[in-house]
Amino acid sequence: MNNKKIFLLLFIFILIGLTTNEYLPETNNKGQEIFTKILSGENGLFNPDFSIYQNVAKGLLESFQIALIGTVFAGFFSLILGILAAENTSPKPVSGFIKFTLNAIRTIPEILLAIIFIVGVGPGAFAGILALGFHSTGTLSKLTAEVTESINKGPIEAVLAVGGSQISVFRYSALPQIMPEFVSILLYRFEINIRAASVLGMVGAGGIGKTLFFALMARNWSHVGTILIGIIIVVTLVDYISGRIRSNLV
Amino acid sequence: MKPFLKIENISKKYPNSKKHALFDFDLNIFPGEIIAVVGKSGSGKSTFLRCVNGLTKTSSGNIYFKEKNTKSMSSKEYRKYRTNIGFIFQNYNLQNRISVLDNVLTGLLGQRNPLMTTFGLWSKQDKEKGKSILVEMGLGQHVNKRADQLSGGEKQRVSIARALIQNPKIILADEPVASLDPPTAKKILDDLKAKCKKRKIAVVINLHDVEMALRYSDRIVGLRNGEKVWDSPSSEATEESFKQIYQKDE
Repeated sequence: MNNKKIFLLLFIFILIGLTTNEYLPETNNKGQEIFTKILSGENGLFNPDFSIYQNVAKGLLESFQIALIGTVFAGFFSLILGILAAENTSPKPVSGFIKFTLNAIRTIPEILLAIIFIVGVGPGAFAGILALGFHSTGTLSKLTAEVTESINKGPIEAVLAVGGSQISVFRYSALPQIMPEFVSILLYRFEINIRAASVLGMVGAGGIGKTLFFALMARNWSHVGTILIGIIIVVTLVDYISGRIRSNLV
Repeated sequence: MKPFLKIENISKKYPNSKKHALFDFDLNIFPGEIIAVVGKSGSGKSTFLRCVNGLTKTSSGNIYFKEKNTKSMSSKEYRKYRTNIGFIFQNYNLQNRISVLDNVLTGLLGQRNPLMTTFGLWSKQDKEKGKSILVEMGLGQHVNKRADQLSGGEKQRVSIARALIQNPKIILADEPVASLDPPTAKKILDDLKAKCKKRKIAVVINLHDVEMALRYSDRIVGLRNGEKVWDSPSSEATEESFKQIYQKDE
């Protein structure tokens, strides 16, 4: 397809979008009223109830732990799978097979994995860890494979030239080249997993999501507000710290 | 005196290339001699050196080390053969993220127990030897620095130290000073020559600079379009011989 056709298609889509109002909700004042109440009412989002801080802290800690353990678990497997999936360190059929499998894993969303694991191991943090670990292994392995494929061949030849074995090549040349970028993407994945872990509880996979879910069900907006503040603080802190570490790595 | 390394009719043709990079090349190398290989870029100098230690596979021909055909060696024997050969690369090929001393120690990877070296365990003697060679190369104050903190000239000195610690029979140097400024280049070649003469290590050095080749070698070999067109003691090389090596292709 050439550019012209793409533009024409886009144009048609936009036209259809503009002329269809099927999806626009009918506006009425009642909706606005409810919305204002949710936000700034006596029991609204902007009037957080800090008396539940202990519950929130406990939930946040659990989410943090789920993300941490899930990421470490994924890191371990993706270092192995990533190197096995890289075309320059592994035979073509092996690399192809692993890449295909990883792609398949990656397409399943965490939340779906969480539901599947809950059926398997029961509701709770463990299901969350497995869901995050599994999904992250998919993404991290792919990135690790890409890092491995981009390493400089020169230092590898230097080890081969002195009579070094494959294991020496890996230890003294490949690993030092892969490690900084690997740790960097691992930390980045941890940031993503912290956010994902806060939602996982909503399907029963442990963490702050559970508390959030109950507050939402009870329409207790001031509790929801407190929980959101907690999540924002933790996510921002983790982002900031891991960002600082990452910028010092490479 | 008998040659310890005999190169017999080796040819190399790269896939996707019509011409031979190296064609029917012969060379006998005697202990302790310094051979300069000269020729235009693309004349096959690098290919020749890389074929000698197997970083590039020959298409045909044989290489004998102490009368043993390298083709009949098992992969373990071949790694042992490689420990006799130091290789110096144009762009140093150091392991950037580890210390200068560790880089020098990688020269011993083919000669030490891979299990020990994989855990970074080097004997005290090895470390002392590494340090003393670094001092000899004028890098005493850089022992614990990270390799990527050094200047180009210093990096090449580290890579010479890495070759010397192997205690090799021969050092192959592929355009070792092509990326360095002339005064630094001169100092490094002076050092390389002195250290190798002292230890009676043979050197095969690729150079495109004729004056340098004359100054540092006992014997000059000229390559043109992958074929040997000159082989004589440096004292017998004349302007005519260099014309033959560097003349334009018809």
